[in-house]
Amino acid sequence: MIFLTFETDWEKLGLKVGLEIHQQLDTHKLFCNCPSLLRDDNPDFIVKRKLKAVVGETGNVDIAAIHEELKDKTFFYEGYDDTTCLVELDEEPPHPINPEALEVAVQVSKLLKMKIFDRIYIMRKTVIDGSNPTGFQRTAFFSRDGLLKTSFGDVKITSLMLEEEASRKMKEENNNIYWRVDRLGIPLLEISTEPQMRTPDQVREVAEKIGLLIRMTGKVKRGKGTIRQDVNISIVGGNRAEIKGFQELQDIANLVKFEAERQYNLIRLHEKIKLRNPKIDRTFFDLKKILAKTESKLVKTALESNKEIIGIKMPSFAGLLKDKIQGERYFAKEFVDYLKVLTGISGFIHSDELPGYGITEKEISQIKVLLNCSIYDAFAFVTGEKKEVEKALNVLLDRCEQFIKEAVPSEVRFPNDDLTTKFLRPMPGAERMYPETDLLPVDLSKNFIDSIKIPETPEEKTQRFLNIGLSQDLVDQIIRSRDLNLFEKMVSIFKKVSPTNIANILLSSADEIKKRYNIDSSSLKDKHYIDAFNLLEEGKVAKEALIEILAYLAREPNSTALEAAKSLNLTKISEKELEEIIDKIIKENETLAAEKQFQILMGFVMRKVRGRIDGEIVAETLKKKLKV
Amino acid sequence: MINHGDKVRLITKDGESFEGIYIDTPELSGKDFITLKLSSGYNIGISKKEISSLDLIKKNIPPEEKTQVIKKKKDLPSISLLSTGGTISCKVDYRTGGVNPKITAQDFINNVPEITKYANINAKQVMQIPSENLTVKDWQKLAREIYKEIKKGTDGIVVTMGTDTLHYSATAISFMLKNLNVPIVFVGAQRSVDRGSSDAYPNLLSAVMTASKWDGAEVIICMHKTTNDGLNMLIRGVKARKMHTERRDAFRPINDLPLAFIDYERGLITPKSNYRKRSKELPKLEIEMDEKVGLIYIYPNMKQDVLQHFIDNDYHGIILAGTGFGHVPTGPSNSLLPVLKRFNNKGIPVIMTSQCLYGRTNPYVYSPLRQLSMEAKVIFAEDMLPEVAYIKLMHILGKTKDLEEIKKLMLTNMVGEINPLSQVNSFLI
Repeated sequence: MIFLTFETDWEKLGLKVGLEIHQQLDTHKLFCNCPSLLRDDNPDFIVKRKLKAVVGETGNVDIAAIHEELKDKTFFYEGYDDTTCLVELDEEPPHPINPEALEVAVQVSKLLKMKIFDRIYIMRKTVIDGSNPTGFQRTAFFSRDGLLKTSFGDVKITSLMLEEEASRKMKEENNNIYWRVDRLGIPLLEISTEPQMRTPDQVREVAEKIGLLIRMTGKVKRGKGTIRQDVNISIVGGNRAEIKGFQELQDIANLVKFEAERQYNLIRLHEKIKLRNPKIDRTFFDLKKILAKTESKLVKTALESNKEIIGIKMPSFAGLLKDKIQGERYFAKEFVDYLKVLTGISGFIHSDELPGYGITEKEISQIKVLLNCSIYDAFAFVTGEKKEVEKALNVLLDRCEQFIKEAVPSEVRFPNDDLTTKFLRPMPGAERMYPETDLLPVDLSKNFIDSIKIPETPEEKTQRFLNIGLSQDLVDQIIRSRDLNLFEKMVSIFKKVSPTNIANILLSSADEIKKRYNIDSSSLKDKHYIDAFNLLEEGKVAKEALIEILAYLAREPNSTALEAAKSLNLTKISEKELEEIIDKIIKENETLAAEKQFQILMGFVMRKVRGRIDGEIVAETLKKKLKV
Repeated sequence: MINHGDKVRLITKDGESFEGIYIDTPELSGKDFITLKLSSGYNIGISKKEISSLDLIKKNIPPEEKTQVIKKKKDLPSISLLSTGGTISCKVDYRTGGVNPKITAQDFINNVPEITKYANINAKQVMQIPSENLTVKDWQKLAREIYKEIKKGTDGIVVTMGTDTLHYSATAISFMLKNLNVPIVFVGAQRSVDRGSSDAYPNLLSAVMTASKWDGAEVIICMHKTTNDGLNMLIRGVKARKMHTERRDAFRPINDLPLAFIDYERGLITPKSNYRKRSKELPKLEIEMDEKVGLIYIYPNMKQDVLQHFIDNDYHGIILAGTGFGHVPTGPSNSLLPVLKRFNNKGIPVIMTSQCLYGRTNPYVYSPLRQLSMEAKVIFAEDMLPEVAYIKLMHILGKTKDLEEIKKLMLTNMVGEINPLSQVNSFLI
């Protein structure tokens, strides 16, 4: 096993990475007026539907196979009376495309210096997983040929598509698949780059830059799942693997490193095996006789329930199947992935992990004789029903054959939580697409495009924030923050509160509230912040009181900030009111006052007025009263 | 010469080059743009003003249509599948995205292979007309074609049609072919057939199942019971109405119960009401219709001249969709009574139905109703739907012009168009 690190010579490795970035927009849905709102409460209705393979351009699509696959599947679509409509349920034609989403697409195209088509066509792209009740996804090729400036030169932006998001999969029970249509139809931008990135760090930089640039429109969704990257990775001697739906930007460099590592190790193993001159033998060997008296529990159980035990030779694979190829993943895992996706069987036993599972040396050597294995050959066996076992063994043999032919197959992979990846499906052929006949094409006149302003670039925004007094560090944070829009809004509303104060509170409030009061602040909305800062603007509370007020609102989201301040005793007091409080405390503590115990009395007073008036004024007033 | 489907290279004035399939754009605005389908599958439009050259790379050679002979299975019933046009009988050319309205028996079977489980299919394209353009002559042609199939001994008929006027057509055929011995199943689709979710597939499967297995012999409409897939519903053609512009379950029974539910996944037919059963006799073909009939929606403040128009233009009868029980304005300043009396004086039948759709008209409850029925001799058509009364009157006028005879026939329940029973559970289903 060779581990790759960030110090690896990527140029020598010939790493090539291209990105496809999917970003949800924060507007209403693309083809109806429903809000883009994900909900966790119980759905109001569930609609049951079937999908059918439709006859048409065959190409790579085996209609009969898809037909068989879909026949048994039933899809259930969950929706809400007040936030989903007949359009999502494929019971009403799409409404004309959301103009706000068009505007954002123009803005992003301009930010990326792309050329916008004079006329765009909304297409229907066939999808059969049930994620769209229609059986297709609507998508439009919007603009092309842009560029992004990076620290390592210009990266070419190939295309920008404007499309609709799919439904959310809620659960899958046998062949019943439940989708929630709240996500269906949220506008999505898909931005593709040329495969110009040569190191993991460059990938991270490009993903970050594009994400930041799109956010400059102020119209994008934030939070988990709202931006997803498809990462296309290859190295010299390898092949393009597309890693689908990656969500964690901060880990993207590691993801790339891991995939390069997998391809590198597969190439190494491929070369080793080639030297052994492998010959595929597709014979199936019945192992029931040899294993009839085995102590292996696994095999015994299979024999008792009349299952088959069939073995195959894995030519020249001996000693390699337990090689680690990607992080902690063994080479054998590559085969298991294929079994899991393409058959109903979830694993197999191979000779590199034997003796083990109760199978003895003697049994192993008998199997090797039967299968005519040389010292370089491994063997594998699978238990189960005959039809299933034979299907599984054919998948294993196909994968062996494929591996002998080329080290890395071109395929779609899915990211695991530990940033390794697993086989998802073969690389699809050309997509089946045809025009959305329910909608007219959209003509994007020069006047319309010119009328849409280019949003501030991140550089321009940085300069403006520096000019209103933010530190460079604060600018870097707020510009990447989820609360950027809110910050901009508040700076324009509040004239007396300094932008630095606003930025500091916005960036730190969630953590502070958690730390000080152990309250989760996810219920805090923009209006709560604005409401709380309004008290500061009007001089009703002190700056120090804000976190406590916000914490109160996080717990009681239906209260107003003023109510919070009052019930927390945090409304500001005048100097006259302060004097009254001090007088009262002195009266109640005559002895201490006579002894001029400033520290103790100050403590008493502060307990009553903390956060309601400047501490220095309290000290001064108290000193005056005590005549110290 | 570059044609639809040809592979071309387009170069813009900026020197950008695109390769793709040339697509004709039929819309009015299309003439200012060249549309290409790129190899990615996407269509794009480039303004003609921006184009410097457009060159042919390869002419499109359309693939040959393969004709397959479908083997008949001995032990299965034979049904006749007559296509007339509409969403359900269109084919999409996925290469260019164009819609091809030519569909063969093989296409139906390719689309829904399950239908061959129930019957041997004899498919015939009778016409290719969007349902809103159908005329009396088309219904007559369809009736003759159905009659021919029945005479040949078919076990059932499926008619595929656009949904907009499906219930008008089913009604026309109901009156033209009485005394039926086999079911005539009208079916359509609310969603286009290019998509995997189209209701064309379950609907067609249910229709074929019904035509081959159902023991009834009526003209019926077979469409989705609810927005869910899984159950279809048989509705008597003369009691059916399209009640929604888009939904799969748009067709509802009015003043009637559904005749049966079709569980097409399990092949089950559950009867829900009484219906005419199959028999061995041949039906009676009566295709004559008098087209000089009008259908008018009554509204407040309506003026006499709207109705006078039908007298002046020599109409032979009109249907009114009155308000409530069958009212028209009869107030002192704008009564329609005088013009309705003129119809009667001229011997032109006036038939009253209700725009409520649900419920029965009534000629006596209020005095204005009595004026209409007794002074102007307006014929109150029980619980008949306005569209059904319209077609029925054309049918009756094809036989007789005698006012008394017309009245008698209008109020005679011929094929289930009048429900003698106002069933409690037949509202809003």
